[in-house]
Amino acid sequence: MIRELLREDRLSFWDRLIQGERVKQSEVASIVTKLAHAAPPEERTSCILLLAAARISEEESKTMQRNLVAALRYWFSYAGTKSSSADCKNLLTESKWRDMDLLTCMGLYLSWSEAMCSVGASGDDYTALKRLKDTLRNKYSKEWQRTLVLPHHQISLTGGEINDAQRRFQCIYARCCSP
Amino acid sequence: MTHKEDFNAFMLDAVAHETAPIEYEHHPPLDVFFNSLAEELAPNAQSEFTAHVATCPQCQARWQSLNEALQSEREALSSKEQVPDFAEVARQRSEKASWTRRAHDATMALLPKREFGSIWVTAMASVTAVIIALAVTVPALWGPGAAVYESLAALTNEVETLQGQVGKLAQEVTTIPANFAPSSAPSMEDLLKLVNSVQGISDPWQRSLIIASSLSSHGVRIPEGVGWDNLSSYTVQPGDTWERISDHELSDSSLWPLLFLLNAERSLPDGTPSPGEKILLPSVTR
Repeated sequence: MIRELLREDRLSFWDRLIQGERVKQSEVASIVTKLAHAAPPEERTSCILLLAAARISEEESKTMQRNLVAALRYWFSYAGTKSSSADCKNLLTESKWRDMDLLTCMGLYLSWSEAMCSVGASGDDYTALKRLKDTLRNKYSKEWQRTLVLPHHQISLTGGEINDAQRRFQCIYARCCSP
Repeated sequence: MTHKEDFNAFMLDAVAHETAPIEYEHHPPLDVFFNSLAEELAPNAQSEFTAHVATCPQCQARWQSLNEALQSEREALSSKEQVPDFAEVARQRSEKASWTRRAHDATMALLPKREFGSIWVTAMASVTAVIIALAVTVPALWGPGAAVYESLAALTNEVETLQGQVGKLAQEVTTIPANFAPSSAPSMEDLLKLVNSVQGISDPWQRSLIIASSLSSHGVRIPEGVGWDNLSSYTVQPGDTWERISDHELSDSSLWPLLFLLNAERSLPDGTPSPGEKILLPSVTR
């Protein structure tokens, strides 16, 4: 149940990021505080991923922030049930495209071009996705290292196992980070 | 999977985990959906709603269908509101001009002398106008003037009488009482049929729409003073009828169909109120 509440908290942050809002890392840190002692790997992955995305939204250039919004819209559009209406994309107004939120984008199955156009960028800039993925991956690794104190070479995307001492540190760190 | 592997697949997995369905016991009511679509929810409420819908397949399907319906309505409205652009207006004017030109040309073709056609038409029109003016004014001035004046006066009186009758009718229409019950007021049989017909519909919104339109078609009007937010209860007494309860509790016997529909599940099979049963009453402010 607590895990599901955490997920709901994270979704509200994802929603803000998808809408192009800036999310501060200090805001997201409250979620790390709640990260349970024996949280499963997917939970840890999701929390760290959100921290990494928040860091991009807070620190990186405008272009990278825009690429992040496009990429999140692209990835989240494949979540949920595919929209039943074939032309639901065509029905979206210009402002709905621009200010797309989590609920609007879920199930839309956007192409990368459509995701880029929704943030007002050129639809054929496929290198933007690669650049964003590289940056996000780096941030993710750093956040993982910083939060869970694992040597860089041991980091795997799905988290992996950490020992009790590291879990304890995680909790202490989380408490210190909380606002 | 290491960080050198496909990051795209990793992200899609993470997103799938984030939005994986949760078993919810309660779902947001329909008005929250509408408020969300109208962007009228407070930020916190909107966040909670978003998180729920994102992880609840049932609410997600509902939200999608409502959103699509709203978008197509907006699309339809915007197409109706479209004002023709300048080029379109110019084209229409040009078409109209060419139509009048064609009519003019056709008239000219019928005339004997094409080179003096326009002058001839103008002269004919002027002569006709003079003849009509003389035909109206001469009899009034010199002819049987009295007869003409009399008939005009009679006509004027008739028109004034008719205007008076219309005014009286209009006044009657605007002063119809709020509890006016037309002759086609629904019978108990009608209402039982209506209740049976909506029993299979699970969507409360659709159900209430059918009931409201049916009542409207029977001329049942709900006065502004009747409120549905603060319902009170009343224990049915032996010998009570819906009309009597409506008269006593709502001070308006014509509102009995509303009482019945509100308490249909608590009434007897024939639709009459069940003695001893607690029924719900709307609030009435006078």
